[in-house]
Amino acid sequence: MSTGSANARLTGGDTPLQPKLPSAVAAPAALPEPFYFGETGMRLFGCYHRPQGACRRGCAVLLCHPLGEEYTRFQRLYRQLTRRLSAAGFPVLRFDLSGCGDSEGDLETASVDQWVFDISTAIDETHRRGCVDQCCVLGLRLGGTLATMAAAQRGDVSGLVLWDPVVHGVAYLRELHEMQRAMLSTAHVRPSNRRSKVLRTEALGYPLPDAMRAGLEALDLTAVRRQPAQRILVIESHTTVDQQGLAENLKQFGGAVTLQRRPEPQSWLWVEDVGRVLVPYRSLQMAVRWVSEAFP
Amino acid sequence: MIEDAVRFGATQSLVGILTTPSDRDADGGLPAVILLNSGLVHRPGPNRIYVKIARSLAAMGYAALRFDFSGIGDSGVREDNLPFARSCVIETQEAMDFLNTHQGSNTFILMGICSGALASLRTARQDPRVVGAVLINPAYHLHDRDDADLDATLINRTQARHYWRILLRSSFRGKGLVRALTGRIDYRTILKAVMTAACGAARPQRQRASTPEDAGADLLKLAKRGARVLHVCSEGDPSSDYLRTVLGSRLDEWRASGLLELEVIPGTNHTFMLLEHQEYLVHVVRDWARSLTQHKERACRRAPDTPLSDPEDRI
Repeated sequence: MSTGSANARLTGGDTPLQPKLPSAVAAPAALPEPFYFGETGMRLFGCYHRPQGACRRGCAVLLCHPLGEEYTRFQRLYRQLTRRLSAAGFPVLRFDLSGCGDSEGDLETASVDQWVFDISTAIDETHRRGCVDQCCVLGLRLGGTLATMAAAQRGDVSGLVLWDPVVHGVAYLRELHEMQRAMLSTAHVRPSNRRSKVLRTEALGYPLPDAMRAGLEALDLTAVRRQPAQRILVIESHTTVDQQGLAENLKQFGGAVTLQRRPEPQSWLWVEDVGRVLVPYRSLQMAVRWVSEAFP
Repeated sequence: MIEDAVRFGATQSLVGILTTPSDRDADGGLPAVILLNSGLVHRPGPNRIYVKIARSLAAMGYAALRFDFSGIGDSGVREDNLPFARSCVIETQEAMDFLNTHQGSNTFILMGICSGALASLRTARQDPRVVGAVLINPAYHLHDRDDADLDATLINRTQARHYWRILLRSSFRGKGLVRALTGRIDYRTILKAVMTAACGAARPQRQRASTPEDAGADLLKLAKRGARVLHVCSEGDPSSDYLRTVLGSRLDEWRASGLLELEVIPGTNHTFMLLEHQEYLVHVVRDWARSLTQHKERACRRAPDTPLSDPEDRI
């Protein structure tokens, strides 16, 4: 599959021209700029938001989504984050990992290594679009985990916001398994396959193939051996996930690591009606404030 | 196939993904497909189903646009104060205008889950460019919802019918009984629905602006116009109970005559939480889209005055 974007070519993207699509018109500042980027055959969807208002920061922000069902339920949170950070003067890029959202590919063939590579590609794109040297990456749950891995590989990320990151892949898979089990018990669904198979190969409406499971099982953020960013904020919104160990581990590299505990409901727990999920407003405010203060 | 990020609408604030077939698969004569938001879920759809549907239809030669209504996903917010019931129609028409300008499409198929189905029907009845609609788990879409009394009556009757069917006649009845016996069931809601439905049936009916018999008039109008409407209902969703409640015996008559096309997907819920049911849904949509092209081919071969009610022309 090949992709192109009407807006990518308006803003200097590398996408081939598509003669059928709208001709180039400079986007008004307030409008988001949706586009595809990355390697042909594995293009990623991104939506770039220019900084608003008089203030212009010297740092751009990249937003990394969580995975699967959490991607859908936190969409509104990411929209809010984008608008607030953009209003605070940051260029913001929100993007979808391979096989997720509007990006190319399917989850059946996606892998942890590919996603880490995707984030690194998106960091490059953020620098290019924002025309700035500094980049702060914000990720929720598995998005935070993958962002840490990509940042540690690169060594040039200025800031990192890890919002309830998944620290241990094994625990994350256990959690998914329990939620899948709860969904099978409560929702009006009846698999024709064996229940055990559905429990093993799917997670809340999304595929969980063996290769991906193995990749997720191997995740351990406490094993990161290189400083991922100069400034790091770890947000712990629920005590079931103790982020203290992660924060201590990240501190050993010498950067400024802040652990903020802000009790909020566990928004990632599955409920059938996604419209009932509230945006964790206080944590959102805290994240935006921290980024604004860290990168004045 | 090709996927493009696009922006359109009066203020260029609506964001979507246009999936177009490769030149090999393209068929310029086919209507374009537009997928409409399911509630607050943005354009990939619940469990990314809209992406699967769009790609699958593109492989059949259809261009498919999934986009976000104002205030959802990446789309901007509206500057006016139009109610959603109106803005969703306007924005869907803007999507059609965009596809007309940039794809040359003159006719359209609208589809969506839940409120996306409602927006599809609302637009279809207003815009003659719509030649087909796929309404997936639509909620209370066939009656006049401004008539509060009628609305409450139909909702309560639907819910009462739904609870009984789930508990006694659905493939989830075992699970439902276990939940009922272990107290993991919302008795208050069920009791309220059953009681209100029973009281409503016993109470003398006051003069109403509309009646349940008026419901479905939109479907008749669309059929008269030659537009096809497919209802897709999950077994675990109240949408099929609503159709039975609001249409009564007409449901069977209309299905038999081909006026109402209905597909019930067994074993699944409102948002298709299992992969096998997502695949099932994609197959249903593909089969219906295929029948649309066959229907069109037959119509081209047929004498112009041949009636369209021949059951062979329908699913």
